[in-house]
Amino acid sequence: MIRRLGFDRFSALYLWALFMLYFGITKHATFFSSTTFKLVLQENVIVGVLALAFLVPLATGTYDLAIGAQMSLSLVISSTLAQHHTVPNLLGMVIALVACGVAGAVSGFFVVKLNVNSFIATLGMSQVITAVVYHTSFQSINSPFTNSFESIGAGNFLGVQRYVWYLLVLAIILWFVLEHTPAGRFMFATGGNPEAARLAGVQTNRLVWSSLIVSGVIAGFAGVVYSWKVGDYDTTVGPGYLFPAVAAVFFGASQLKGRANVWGTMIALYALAWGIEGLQLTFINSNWVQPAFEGVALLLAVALASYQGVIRVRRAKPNATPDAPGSGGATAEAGGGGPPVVTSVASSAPGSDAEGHTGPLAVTHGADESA
Amino acid sequence: MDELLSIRGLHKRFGAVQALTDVNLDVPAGQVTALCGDNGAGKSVLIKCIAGTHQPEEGQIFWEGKPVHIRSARDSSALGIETVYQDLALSDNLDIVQNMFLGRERTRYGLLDENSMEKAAKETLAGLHVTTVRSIRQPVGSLSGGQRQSVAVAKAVMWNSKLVIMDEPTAALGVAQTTMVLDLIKRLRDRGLAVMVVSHNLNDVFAVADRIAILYLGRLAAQDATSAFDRQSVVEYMTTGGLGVTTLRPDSK
Repeated sequence: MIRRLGFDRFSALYLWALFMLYFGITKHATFFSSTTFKLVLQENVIVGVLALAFLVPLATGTYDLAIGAQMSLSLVISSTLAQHHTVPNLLGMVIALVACGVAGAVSGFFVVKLNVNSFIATLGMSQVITAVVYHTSFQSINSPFTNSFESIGAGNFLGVQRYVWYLLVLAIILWFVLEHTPAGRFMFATGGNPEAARLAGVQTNRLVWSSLIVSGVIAGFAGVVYSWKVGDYDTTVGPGYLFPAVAAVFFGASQLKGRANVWGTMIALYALAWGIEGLQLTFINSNWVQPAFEGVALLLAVALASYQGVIRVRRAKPNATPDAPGSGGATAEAGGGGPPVVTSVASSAPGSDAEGHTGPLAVTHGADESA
Repeated sequence: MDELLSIRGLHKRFGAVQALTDVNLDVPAGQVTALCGDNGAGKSVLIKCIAGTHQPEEGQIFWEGKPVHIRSARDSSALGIETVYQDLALSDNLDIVQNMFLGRERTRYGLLDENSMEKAAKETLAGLHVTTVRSIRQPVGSLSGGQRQSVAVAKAVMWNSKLVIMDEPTAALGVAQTTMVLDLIKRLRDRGLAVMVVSHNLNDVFAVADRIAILYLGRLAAQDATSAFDRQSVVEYMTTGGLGVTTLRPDSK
């Protein structure tokens, strides 16, 4: 029953619907307003970009915990350059993105060449980058950017700020690369079984390394979005966004596919965001709501995935060892969860993939076919 | 020479350890050659030399009568040699089709051509009578051991391969699944492929092998048609290198 209704693969969508229904009834005046809608959409773009930054190396089985610090790095570089008017804002942005890419390359060096566990390597890099950030600028910088630069990202486009659309574009690009190109396939193969990937001729080291560089650049872009959105620089910005981003990716990994994926991440991100919004409307002035909610949601989502994984492992391979935490559980979940319904859908021609990936619901449909 | 693969005078050393010494081996097409030997006899090193993972220091490999140098897995694939490793080398988070095409994806305009790959995978599996999988779009992680082995074999034969090397194909399997895999091996042979099976399990060896080659401490102790051996003599060769066997001359060539 649970599988027929897809609670295992679409739990975030049900959760989302539940929030909409519940808060729609209890807080209908404020919750169902275009202001709230826009607010939630826009407030979560930075987390969304960071989540995608986390997702890229995760596909290759690599954790990148330096993304929060890289976001700060991007922000401090572009802000400082803008403050001193040394270079145009746009060039400053490019320099910041390159710097974040270099930071990612350094992480990659430790992970690939020195064989340091990615969790540790990027955690260490995160502190090193933070040190660089503090060294660059102690004080906060107020609105250093020119209006023309801010209008690139901010400013209304089809009802919402432009950076919302940038997130969508980024998500589409990553979805395309990860799911529909050989490079993306190689990345997931590397994450699933590096040895098998290597035997199949995949250059796993190069993929891991590049994924960390890409992740750094995307994290840097999150800093750029912050500068469009807020405009100010502060040393505390960045690391605070790490957890919600990671939570969205892991929660999203239990959605749609049973492994980390772009649209699952986006759905999870906004399902959580709407829940938090509703709770914050219910409990005014409550900053505990967000961490509490995200923490509980992450624990429950991964626990659900792992629970189903345990059943699958026992049934199929007694001697199987689970992979990395989170991703492994999610992988296993798909294994256990492959219901006849999905099977029949999957075997029908996936030719209609192209029809619409503009909204989460349409995407669910498309992803289901290729699942 | 009508052998598909012939190995002459192969030596392989790892530092001070002499892993293979003067190995001569013939693998004919359309037959199953079992490669037996105790742990550490050099079975894995030998197949890795054929698969291109290891390079021998000395010796010559002949493929279809012509001397070849196999320097990488790509070289061996290009010749038509595919290896099914013991740990199966499948990626649990990818589905059957994705695994079968891993590293050799078909693309159209640079994008993955899922339809074409799915069709080809389906045909290959049907050709091998692998019918127990529910959907070829299910993740490999959800398959049973025998099904995983079948997918790995199907992956190996997909590329017009002429020699399929299987490392302990039944080691982790139950009775029914073992039968399934042994039937699969026979089907490959009936298609005219050369199959080389590395195995400890004498039941399996006598069930499918047309020829048996036995390694003992890095040397080829014996190779001949299966009918020339019985269980006792195979065990003797595996454990003593043939000291106690008087009825057969080791390596009759």
